[in-house]
Amino acid sequence: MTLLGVEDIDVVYPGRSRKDMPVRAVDGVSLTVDAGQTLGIVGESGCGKSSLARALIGLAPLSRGEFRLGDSIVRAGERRWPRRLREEIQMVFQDPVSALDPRMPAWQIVAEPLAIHRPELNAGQRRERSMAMLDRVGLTADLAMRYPHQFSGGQCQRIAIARALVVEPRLLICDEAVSALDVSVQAQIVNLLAGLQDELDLAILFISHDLAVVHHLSQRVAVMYLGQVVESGTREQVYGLPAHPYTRALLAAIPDPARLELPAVLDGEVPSPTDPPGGCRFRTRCPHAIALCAKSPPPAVAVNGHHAACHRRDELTRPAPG
Amino acid sequence: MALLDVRDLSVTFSDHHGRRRVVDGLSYSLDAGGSLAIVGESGSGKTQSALALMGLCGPTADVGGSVRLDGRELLGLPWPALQQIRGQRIAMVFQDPMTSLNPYRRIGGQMTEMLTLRKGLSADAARTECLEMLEAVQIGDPSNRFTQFPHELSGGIRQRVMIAIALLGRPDLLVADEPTTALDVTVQAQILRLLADLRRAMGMATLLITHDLGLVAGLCDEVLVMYAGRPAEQGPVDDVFARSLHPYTRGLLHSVPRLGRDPGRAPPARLQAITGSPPAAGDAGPGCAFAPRCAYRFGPCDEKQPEFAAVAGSRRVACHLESPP
Repeated sequence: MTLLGVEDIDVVYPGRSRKDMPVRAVDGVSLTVDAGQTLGIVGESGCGKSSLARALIGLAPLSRGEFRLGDSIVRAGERRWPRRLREEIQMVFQDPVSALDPRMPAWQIVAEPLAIHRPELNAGQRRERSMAMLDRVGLTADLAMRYPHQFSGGQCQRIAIARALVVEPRLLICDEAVSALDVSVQAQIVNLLAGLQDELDLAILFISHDLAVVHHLSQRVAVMYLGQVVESGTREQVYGLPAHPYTRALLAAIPDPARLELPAVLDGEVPSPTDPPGGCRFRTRCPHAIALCAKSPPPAVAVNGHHAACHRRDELTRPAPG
Repeated sequence: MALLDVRDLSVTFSDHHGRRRVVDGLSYSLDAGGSLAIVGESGSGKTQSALALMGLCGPTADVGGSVRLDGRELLGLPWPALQQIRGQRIAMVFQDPMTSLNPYRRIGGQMTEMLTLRKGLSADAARTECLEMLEAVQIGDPSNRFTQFPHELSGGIRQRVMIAIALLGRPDLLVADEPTTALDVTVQAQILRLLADLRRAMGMATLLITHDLGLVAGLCDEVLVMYAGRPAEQGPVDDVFARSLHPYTRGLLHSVPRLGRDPGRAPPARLQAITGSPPAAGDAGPGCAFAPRCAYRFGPCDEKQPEFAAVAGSRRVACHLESPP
């Protein structure tokens, strides 16, 4: 069942002065997240993955399109958001230390959203719920009295997750939520998120540049490049039979300790989003670009629910003879 | 004779809280043209151990042990003698290319000063050599880049400029401290390939400092894993990855999600995480620093530090276990 439906949204940041070009960070993105499932969004920096997430909680301007979560709809340009929506979508950010108020003990950080979204609770009840939530993310009662600077990065991220989940959201957005953590701690948080998802039937929008982590956590995956979704489908489709040359390049670039050779190289860097190339946006770096790619943007064609926006999808993904 | 020979290196910082030994008992050697990766998490002392080679730990640091370059002791050398080594025998590439370049100066000026000040080249000769070096690190249109400021360059190009500056002195040893951490995965792949190509073309030794085991495989032949300031395991890269002897190395390799050979397949439901978090370097008790997080902990682990002892040929490991887990 579809929980979140995003329809053709744009996020445009106006320039600071008249000389500055506006930046279209997200350009016509549509996607859906099913209840209790994880959609992973991958892409390099500047691809618009964070802007997309921030637009869903009102931290970035929603310039065009609409999205719905359950019965609530938000359309571009609307000033007032349904109150329930602010509760039902919660977010965990990349840097766990700067996301927490240094002057509050852990339990108070987690209790704060309850004061807004659960006004019927008294202070004692809020504290009780906060402690229960902290326990659920693996922080014991004696730790709940401590302040953020007394915690490690992994523990701070646990507090941030508890704060997001204490109001019982239906969708949790994780924006690079494990990227700043040490390798050995990252696995703990990944496991915690997977466990909480099963327990709470939570939908997760998991945004990361790390394809291996996204592979581990997501049932569906969308690949973004310069503000657009270039490929989306189930994890098995996108990772097993990638249909877009950019996805293939990303997968080939991952360093893996089991592979004793250097990762494959994609030339060049992501062009500036103020002035994206016409036609297919990936054509300036694509090893398979032809004249058609410069002329028209490729439509996102679906095969068995596996979308890819590439003019040459059919000929490039056809299995080699023999 | 080895190009670089590090024996029992230690770095200690003192402040009003007391003394903190952030690097302890680190020994390794590196042959001319060889390559070693030092792998560790934040606080493992990997960066301080690299800074110590060039006398860059700062005035509050107390550096002990021995660092020999071609048999000549580097620790305790006076400043002018160190300046002859920095940049010319040993060069370094830092993690963040934005903060390593001077934002007020054009790329050209920052590059040529290395040659005009250190090697006494004329401005014209320096310019020619710098442009050649920019081409060697595959920067397109070098003469245009020469007049640009760092903020006009992308992260990948900035890191290429940093590498070019480091190579201008034709060093025998390049120390790269997390050279790709700030970069996107496709750009990271470009920089790794560049470093590997340059290493081969110029025959210089490479010391790579990283937290990412994945980077090590393609670039280095030998790996040294550090934990809480001390060496945990060392050996040829493929051996260590195929059969790690230390529970920490093993845990690290297992806790990273991997795509493997068949990425279309579903991953395991849970990762095998290491419990707890790494201690700050210098915080360890009398026993093995990894013991509180170790699944194989037994009697001696809490009592005394395991020795970093040679086992099976060219490998070394610091663990009380008789046989690997």
